[in-house]
Amino acid sequence: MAVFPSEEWLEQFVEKINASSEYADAAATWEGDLVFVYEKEPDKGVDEDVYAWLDLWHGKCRDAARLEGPDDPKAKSAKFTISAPYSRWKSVVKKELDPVKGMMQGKIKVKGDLPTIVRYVKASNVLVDLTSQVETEFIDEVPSA
Amino acid sequence: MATVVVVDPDNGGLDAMLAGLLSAVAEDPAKARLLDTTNGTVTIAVPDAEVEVGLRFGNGVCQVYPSAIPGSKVRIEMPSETLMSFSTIPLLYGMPSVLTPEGRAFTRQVLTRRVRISGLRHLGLVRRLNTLLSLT
Repeated sequence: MAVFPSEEWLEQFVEKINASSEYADAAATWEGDLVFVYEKEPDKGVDEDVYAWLDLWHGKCRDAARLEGPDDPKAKSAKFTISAPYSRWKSVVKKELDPVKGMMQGKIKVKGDLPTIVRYVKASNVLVDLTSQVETEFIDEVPSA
Repeated sequence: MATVVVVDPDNGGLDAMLAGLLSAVAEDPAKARLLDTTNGTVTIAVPDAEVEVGLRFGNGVCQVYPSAIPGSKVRIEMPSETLMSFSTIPLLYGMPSVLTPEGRAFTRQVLTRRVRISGLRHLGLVRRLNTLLSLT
């Protein structure tokens, strides 16, 4: 069980992406990196914004990393940035919040070329579905030692 | 010169998404000319996301509001999933093409009232909007 958000969780997410034939089909022509920003919520144990970078290429994830912050060159140059407070991401991972509706409601912010996002909406949905397949323990639910 | 303006930049929801989409497509000179010459008001409602946005076209500017525009000439209601895929439906004379599976699926949603369009007497505006939002 990996704690969300953590490096270990990110690694398991990448494994799910690379094992998914559905994602491979939906994102077969996708080229571009993506940064997820899990915005801090100190009362939930997330003391600073967490930046997770994924290099997505033709239906696979070639590389991934937890970034230092917004000044990291990868964060600055990413083709797409998707940001939301930690608890919103938790709702997405638990499939309580549909990410498309979340974007429309302004609960999840998207930065990047909108036409590309619209063209690849199915791939985005598969990607989000995969987050819920990672065996996850949420940082605000981890029993303190 | 076609311009897209987000009336409430802090909102960052469907209004920002539509503005982003319209701004990007307006980089195509043909679409920019179309946007330049479009006049009228449109409300797009997405009931399952409980979101409504208003588009006001005039004088080469499209203002995007984070709410409905009262008395809009055209009002379109559709589910979030349909709206997100709408831009990829091939068009025929500015309307979803029933010659394609995607167009037929959309037409079926109109016939079953999952998609509701009022103000069809402003068909020219509907066609222009469809064309502006189209990525095909």
